[in-house]
Amino acid sequence: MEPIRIESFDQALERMIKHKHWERWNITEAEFMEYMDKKHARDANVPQVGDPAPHFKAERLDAKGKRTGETFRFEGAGGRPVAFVFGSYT
Amino acid sequence: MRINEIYNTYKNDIDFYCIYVKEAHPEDGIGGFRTARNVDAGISFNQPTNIEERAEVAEVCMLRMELELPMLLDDMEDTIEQAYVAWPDRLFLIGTDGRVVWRSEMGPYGFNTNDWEQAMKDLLGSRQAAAE
Repeated sequence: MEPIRIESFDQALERMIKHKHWERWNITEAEFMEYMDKKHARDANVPQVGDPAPHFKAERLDAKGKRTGETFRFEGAGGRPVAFVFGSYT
Repeated sequence: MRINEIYNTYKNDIDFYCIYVKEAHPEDGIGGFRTARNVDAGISFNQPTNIEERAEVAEVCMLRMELELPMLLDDMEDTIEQAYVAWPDRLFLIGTDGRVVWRSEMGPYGFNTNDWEQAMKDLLGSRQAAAE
């Protein structure tokens, strides 16, 4: 497994192009570039340091990952800092 | 697992949440978007088309990765993911004023848990200094 510790999108893209990453994904080079362009354009909208963190509500899962039907609300300023990990399985 | 380690180190001072967003590499994604690492681990899912399916994948993920953090489920409109431009994965730290203190670059290459932890140390250190 190659270690992943690359700072910027551009560096990552350079590495992926060098390794012809589209072959690994089984798509054409043009499809790969279109996909990465879209991803890059989207990245411009990410909340920046100092911006208010967007408020949201979401369903809580329990410790075993089961649905609870309970709603969690994030409404910004609170007594404690908040750390978010966004991710999925694949 | 690194995220659990950080969670257990700072959970007395910081609220942690893992938000489950849409799949990064679904089997039915562009070109059958599987990664070698996922194939080796036998991880293969299509992109869930309804919230029940998404919850099922989240459940398998949480159990197999032994995630200890409180877990939240994004809706099928990807509301939270879009607000935070979080896909495929990303880390954030929010201050008590509700503003972003630190955020990672886009994952997976930007998913830097060491910098995330450093931001927590800095934030808690500066709060402690202000209180003294």
